[in-house]
Amino acid sequence: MIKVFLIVSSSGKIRIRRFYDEVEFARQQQIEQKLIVLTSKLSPNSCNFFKDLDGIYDKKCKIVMRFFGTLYFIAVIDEDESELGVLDLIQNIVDLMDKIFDNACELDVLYHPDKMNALIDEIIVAGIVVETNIMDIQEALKQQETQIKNK
Amino acid sequence: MSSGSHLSKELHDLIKSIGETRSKQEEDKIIIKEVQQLKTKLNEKNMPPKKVKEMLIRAIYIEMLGHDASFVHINAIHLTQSKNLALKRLGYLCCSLFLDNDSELLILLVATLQKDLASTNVHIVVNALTAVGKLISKTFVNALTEPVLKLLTHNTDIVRKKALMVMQIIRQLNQDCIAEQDYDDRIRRGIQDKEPSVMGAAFNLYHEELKKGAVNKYKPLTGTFVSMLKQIIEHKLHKDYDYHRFPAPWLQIKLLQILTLLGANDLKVSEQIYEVLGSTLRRADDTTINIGYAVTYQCVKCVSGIYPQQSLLEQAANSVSRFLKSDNNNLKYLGINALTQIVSISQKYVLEHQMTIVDCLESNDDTLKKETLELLFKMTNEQNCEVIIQKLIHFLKTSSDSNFKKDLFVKISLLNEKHAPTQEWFIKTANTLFEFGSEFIDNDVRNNFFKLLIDNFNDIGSEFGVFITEIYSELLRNDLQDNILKIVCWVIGEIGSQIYDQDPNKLNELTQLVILKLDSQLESETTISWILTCLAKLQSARAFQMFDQTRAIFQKYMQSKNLDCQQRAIDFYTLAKFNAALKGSQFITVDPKMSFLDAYVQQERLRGAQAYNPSLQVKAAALGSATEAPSLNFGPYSDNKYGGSKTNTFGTEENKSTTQNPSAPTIAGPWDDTGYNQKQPPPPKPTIATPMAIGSTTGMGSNGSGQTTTKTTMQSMGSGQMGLSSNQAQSTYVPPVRPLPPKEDPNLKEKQKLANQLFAPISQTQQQPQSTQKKGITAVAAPKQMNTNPNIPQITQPKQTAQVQNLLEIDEPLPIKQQQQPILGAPQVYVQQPQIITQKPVVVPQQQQQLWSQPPVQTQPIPQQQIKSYIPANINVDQYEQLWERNQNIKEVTLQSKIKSEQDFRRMIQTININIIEVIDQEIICAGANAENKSCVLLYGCYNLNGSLELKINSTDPKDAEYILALIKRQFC
Repeated sequence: MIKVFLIVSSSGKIRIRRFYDEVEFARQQQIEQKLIVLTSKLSPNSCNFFKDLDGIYDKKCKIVMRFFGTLYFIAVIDEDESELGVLDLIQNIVDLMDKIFDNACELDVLYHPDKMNALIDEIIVAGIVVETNIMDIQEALKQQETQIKNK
Repeated sequence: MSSGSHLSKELHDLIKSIGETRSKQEEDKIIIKEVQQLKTKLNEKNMPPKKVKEMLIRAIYIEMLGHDASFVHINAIHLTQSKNLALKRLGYLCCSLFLDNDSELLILLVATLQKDLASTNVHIVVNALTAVGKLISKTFVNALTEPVLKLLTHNTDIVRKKALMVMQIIRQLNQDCIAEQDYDDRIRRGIQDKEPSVMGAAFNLYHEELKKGAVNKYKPLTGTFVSMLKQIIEHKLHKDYDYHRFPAPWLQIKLLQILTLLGANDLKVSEQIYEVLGSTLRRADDTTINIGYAVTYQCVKCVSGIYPQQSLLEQAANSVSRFLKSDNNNLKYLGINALTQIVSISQKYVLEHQMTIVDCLESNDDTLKKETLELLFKMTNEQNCEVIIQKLIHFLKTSSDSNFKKDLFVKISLLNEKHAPTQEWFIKTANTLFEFGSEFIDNDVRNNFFKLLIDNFNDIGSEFGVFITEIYSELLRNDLQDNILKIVCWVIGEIGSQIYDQDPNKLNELTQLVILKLDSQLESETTISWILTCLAKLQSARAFQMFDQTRAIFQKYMQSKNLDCQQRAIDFYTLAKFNAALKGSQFITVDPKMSFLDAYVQQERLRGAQAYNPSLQVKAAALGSATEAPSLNFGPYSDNKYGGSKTNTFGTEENKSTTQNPSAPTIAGPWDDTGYNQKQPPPPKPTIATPMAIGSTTGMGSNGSGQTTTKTTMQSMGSGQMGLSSNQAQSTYVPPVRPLPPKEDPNLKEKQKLANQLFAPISQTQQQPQSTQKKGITAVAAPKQMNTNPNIPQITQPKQTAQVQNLLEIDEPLPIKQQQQPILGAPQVYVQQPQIITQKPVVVPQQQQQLWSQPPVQTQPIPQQQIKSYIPANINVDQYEQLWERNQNIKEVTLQSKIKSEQDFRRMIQTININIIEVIDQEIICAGANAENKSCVLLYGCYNLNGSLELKINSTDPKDAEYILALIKRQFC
């Protein structure tokens, strides 16, 4: 299960914040800050996985991080989730963003929090990855958009 | 890329200005201004929807930066009621982002949600479902369950799969909402759904159920899952689900997770899985894309999670080993993780990849290094430990990451302790480890190491001792870090001083080396304390000669500003003084054969005395001591050397192995040879030299080993036991039957004096008669020791010289303050064990009585014939009977007395101060001995309820019987 999904700018600002377990707002911010600090450990060649040894979220959890352009994609996952699977899931999300925003960048995430969140909601429901088929998701989102435009 | 042109200037400016801020304060200022603006604007009426939407986006932005935007919550809820899908979606999004599950505002949402869930517009339903998934709480579960369940049969797959997920959340919140059977049916219909995406969602539900522990319930479904996985890997799913031409990888992963849980510890289920698992692994292995590796990794997890199967494990280990060779750190990391899992089942398959794994330590990636170390730690065994430890030490030398080094240090020392092939190797590795990781040596590490050394030393003996002393004295010649110097000092002091106890050259050499270190640059004062302690230990060695030097050093440090240092210096200085005095004193040589007694023995025998017959010896020593011995055995390791064995030296030759301290037989060396007497090593203490010399005789004199110089026991340093224990030995020696009852303690001093007198005149022949009978029996193992084990260090070799008596008094006023001396490592405690006393033979017939009627008879004449005192005799019934038969002076009387109960009788016996051997109904037998001449007194008593008391007193000396009888008559009739 995915516990937290964050998109953070390289300047350390939160761009998308999704917590899938009930976490108090204050603690959410603490977790975010620690995760942002952790991004400094990520270098192009290093491993994208971290064990949450310091208990940022929960000591049993693992942290998967991936850097695209100016954005860090961070997922905190529990022990059952596959690290590589989540890493590719992030790839999937980025691919989708590219398709929807047409060469996505940080500003798209900033200007369209509604679309971004809708995208994530199509993929992750209650912390569980329900859909990984890009075509399907894209289709669903497109339908929504056209409906919105028609009205 | 979108330009943001659709946005108003305000939002654009906000984002820009925030982006340009340099500090949090600046940002806060902007946000506060923004919040003010939003608040006023949101209260304006008839805002166009587009404006409202933008304001909410600004609010999201504010909240994302960690500021409070609760003022828009109500607007968000309003927005959900909008007919515009975009606004509705934004409204639901804001609610999901802003509101907690326990927010009071949620109640306003329920009606909207119910309406939207029933909407005919798929997208409205989907958005509502998403919001329900996030916001549903116990309070509203009931209101929303029904509409959600209805959606499970919706004709759009997006709705069905989301409804499935929400159903799971509902069930988690409140089990009663959906009956178990109903729930099972619904998820089963989920996996049978014609849309793979719905099926995939249903897998999640199964997985969650299995994680919660419902494994047995779903085991029958194993076949279904297996065939699904089979269909997926055979490309039976629609191509849409391929990811980089790999069939539905996430579904595969999910299925593998489910199968892992189903097959865990269950051979039957696992057998169903093996085949499909093997082919999944093979197919995943063929790909070179990331997601393929993800499936491989999941397969390996499955292989190690289910009931193990040989060929699969092998296959898995091989697949994973390729991860390690990859350049991608992610794959390496997963490879290490996967191997860690396989190792926990069987080391076999991992060992062949050992060098590849070791190379991963070279990575510059922390996570990877940590995992690799963990794996190496798990896979090290006796065979590969040399290679692995060498590698690890290499990394310890080269690494600059102190956290990693600390980890390495701990792991290496653990591995070294666990798997080191030889002692030598262990020591050398430990030294290298300490050298390169000296900053990590703390008290725990040190104490642990000392413990290991001393245990090994005790087990293996001098060979090991010489070896480590050599190594460490060699180290001493180099410049050392303080932490290592401390260890070296300890080893030299503790083990070196024992090994070279009688080798003045070596001792001098060691001492000089240690003294030199005092002049070197030391990091802390505590190191000086260690060095001082080492010197103190060295000077306790028998052959130590450099007292002048050590004394000078101690004197110097008596002025130290470091309290610990100062205290030690003072203590050690005092000890040095006495040590030197000791060495200077004259030793009295004892002829262990006691040939000087021969004439006397001959004379006695001519007069008709019986020849000494050991089988008749009373086995009193066996009594009493057995129960006491273990409890006294508290010295950490001295018991091996002194404790158990020493006790026996004090007793007579009757001390069979049963009387020995349990730890005694473990002594390295000859004492555990056969023959009961060989278990008696001679005494290391002067205080007991006298009786011992009497007790052990033949076979010792000629080879010269029978000389004992007393070793003043520096080993008692830090425990202060010596003075105390010798006192005990003296005070209780006089009545040797058993430890004195406490009430007699006031006499202690007097008895000490007496004892001192006892020990002094050993060369006088007054006690000659005793030893005659002992000849040939107490052939202590000494000669044999010499032959069989030439290596044994001198200290353990028995020498039999009585020390000048006043030693005993020296010990008393020693200003050793035990509490102030931290016990370094494990101090040798030289414990004089009180149980010696109880081991003495007690009541013996006339011929033997002189055995313990030692000098006191001569030196302290009994002052009054009339007052006799008695001491209890610790014998058993058999011995009692034996003695009874031998003595013929039986006095029989029947009295009318006050004694009407056992209690009364006991009081009487107590008054006489003899002890009860056995009680049978109203008959009681007791035994004791005359305190002065040790003549034996046996008493048989039978009391009656009417007060008639029948007494039979059997005493070697008829006067004793009369005296006791008179005593009883006077006090109890």
